[in-house]
Amino acid sequence: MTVSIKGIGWQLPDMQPSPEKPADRSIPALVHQAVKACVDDARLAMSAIDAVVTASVDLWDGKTASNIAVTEAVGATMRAETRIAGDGLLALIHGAMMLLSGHYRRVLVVAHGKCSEADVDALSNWSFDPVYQQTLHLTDTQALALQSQAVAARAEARWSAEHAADFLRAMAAGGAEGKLAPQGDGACAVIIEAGDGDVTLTGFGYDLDAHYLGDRCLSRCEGLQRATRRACRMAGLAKPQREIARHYWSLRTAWQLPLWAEAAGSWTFAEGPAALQDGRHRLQWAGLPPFAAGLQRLIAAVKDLRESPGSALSLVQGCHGAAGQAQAVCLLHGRGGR
Amino acid sequence: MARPVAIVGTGQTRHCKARPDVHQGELVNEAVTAALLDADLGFEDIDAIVLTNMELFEGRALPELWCGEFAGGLGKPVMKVATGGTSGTSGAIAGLIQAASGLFDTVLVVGWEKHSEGSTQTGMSLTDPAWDRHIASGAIGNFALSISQYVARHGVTPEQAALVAVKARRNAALNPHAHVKDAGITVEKVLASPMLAEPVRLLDMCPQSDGACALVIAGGDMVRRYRHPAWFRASATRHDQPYIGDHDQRLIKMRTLRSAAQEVYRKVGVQNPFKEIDVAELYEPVSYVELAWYEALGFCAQGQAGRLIESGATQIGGELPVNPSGGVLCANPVGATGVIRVAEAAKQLHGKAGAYQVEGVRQALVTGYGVYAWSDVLFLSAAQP
Repeated sequence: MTVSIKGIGWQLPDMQPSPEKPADRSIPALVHQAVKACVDDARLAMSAIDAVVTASVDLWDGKTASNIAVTEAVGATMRAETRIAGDGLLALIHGAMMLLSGHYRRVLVVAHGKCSEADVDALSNWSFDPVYQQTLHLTDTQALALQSQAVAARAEARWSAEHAADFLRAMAAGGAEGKLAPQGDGACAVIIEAGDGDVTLTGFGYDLDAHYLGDRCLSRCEGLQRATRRACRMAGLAKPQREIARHYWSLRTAWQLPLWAEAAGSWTFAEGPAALQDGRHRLQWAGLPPFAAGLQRLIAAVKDLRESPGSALSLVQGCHGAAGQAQAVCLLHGRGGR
Repeated sequence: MARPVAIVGTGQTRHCKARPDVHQGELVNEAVTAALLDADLGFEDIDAIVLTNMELFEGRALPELWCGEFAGGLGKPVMKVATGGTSGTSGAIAGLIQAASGLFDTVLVVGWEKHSEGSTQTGMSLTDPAWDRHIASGAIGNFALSISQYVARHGVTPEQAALVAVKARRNAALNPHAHVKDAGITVEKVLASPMLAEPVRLLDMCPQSDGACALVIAGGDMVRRYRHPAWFRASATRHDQPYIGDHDQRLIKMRTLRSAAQEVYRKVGVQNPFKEIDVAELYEPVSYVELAWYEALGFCAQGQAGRLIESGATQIGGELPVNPSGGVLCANPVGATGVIRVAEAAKQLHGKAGAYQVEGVRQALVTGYGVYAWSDVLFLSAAQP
């Protein structure tokens, strides 16, 4: 059985289908706009949806049981809904498994984040183990800084100083100024269904890496490596680096680009930074909401695949947790020319 | 369903008010180790993991990122499901569906909560800030409103509700994992317990517990290794509107549970649930709601639940034993509570329920309840679908 992408919709900064600013919207309004855009794109009525999978994390939007806030907006009243507490790409993967199980024919996947209503630094500190790491007052920001330093050290060891400077200059030109990507408020929605379509989900994988930063080599990402391997195996890709045309990364720092690209097997440090700027690596730098970012990358990939003249294969990556502890990968095939 | 899957192992911790002897990861590990032992498997045999838990109820944010490793999740596909009180049953359904997808032969489902380290009341109050938060009263006040209406309409008496509490605590006395157990409890003792919110008394309510529970789900060739798998036959989920004011006659109608049960009965061909189901593990946070569940699940006609509990039919040895484990009234680590319901039903089908084993169990019903009226229903059987 195959799984295809039937519809996409979003309500995000810088790529909004409507002029309202997400920060001005309540969570249900934000989500409703994304869902409405999605069902319109799919040319479906809500009654055609069998089940809903949402992605959000309690307190990161200022709420408990954060799918309570969106039950009506996602059309889950008197319908099957479940919530994945993690990145939206994981929710899409679970939705795909619901289809593959034969229990459902069409699933709406919705992710939202509204960190403007949360104390993200405090929450990320609480997400570290309370014995060793929380007491050091580690936060996601500090974990990202440690990771960036580790990757930068590898790059500087392999590249010339000019190459490293070129890389950062190129990232700055794309909006990534060597700083932490700001997070925004927003929602994304995707409808998937059993059967073929313009864009099909050919493989997926996900993985949980070590929690303790000291247990991980932060200059590498084994979690993404394993997730990609699982996705490629499922898709039956013999030579993924040749067969995947474009990669859609979820980034918080510039240095995550080489880190993710290497872990996914699509680039090596030996190739140098210029190879990361060849158009195969797509990133949305600023304003992605936590836990909706992976689904936003998938929507960007679907849009490009629909507009591509010929068939193409794209890799989409999502992650959450300190320095990308939890990783998810989807492979999308577009037959082109919608 | 693409392929049949079954629960082949279960494991639980001792549930109690506080487990200061272990941290959350160790609590998770206790349940997982017990489940793997029950299934005669090792960590290396598990293909994927579903975790269930409610943030803040245990004082953490994203606790699965820390505790996942203690479930054996390092380097494996791991995701967390959280849907309030239904988290555990939603997680079990997610695990069963993931195994049924054919992508994994073995899926481990682990639910846990360590209420002693968090603030459940605070967590439950973080609802809609405009309309709900200022009247957020946690589980007790919330239930008291709906129960008052249910009692007024159906004439359920405090004595009938107390019979549910008595049944639960006496059953729990047979269950080594239960938190609240009292073999000598009487109706009079329940009725003499402090009033929390009219008509709900202390002994009508569930506790808050520390505890964890794990399930091992198998499909494909793996499931053939087991003599008495608890086969997954069907499930259904219904969520409902987010404001309590939107729920007209919540417990009287209980439309989510009624609709989900009807879907499950239709899928498995059950026409007379009271006669055809051998045991039920229901998510009853308050004594009164078990009576409302009887009606929504079709165990009796509307308004007849009081008589059903008086008849003794839902006791161990009765025609349809309900919560022989003691139920939620006797152990309630929220993220694990739904997983426990599924595990207890599976244990009955495995023939491993010990002192509270119901004779001749072939079909078992499980429900989950959460938020204002969300419902999950699962149906397990000894017969392969």
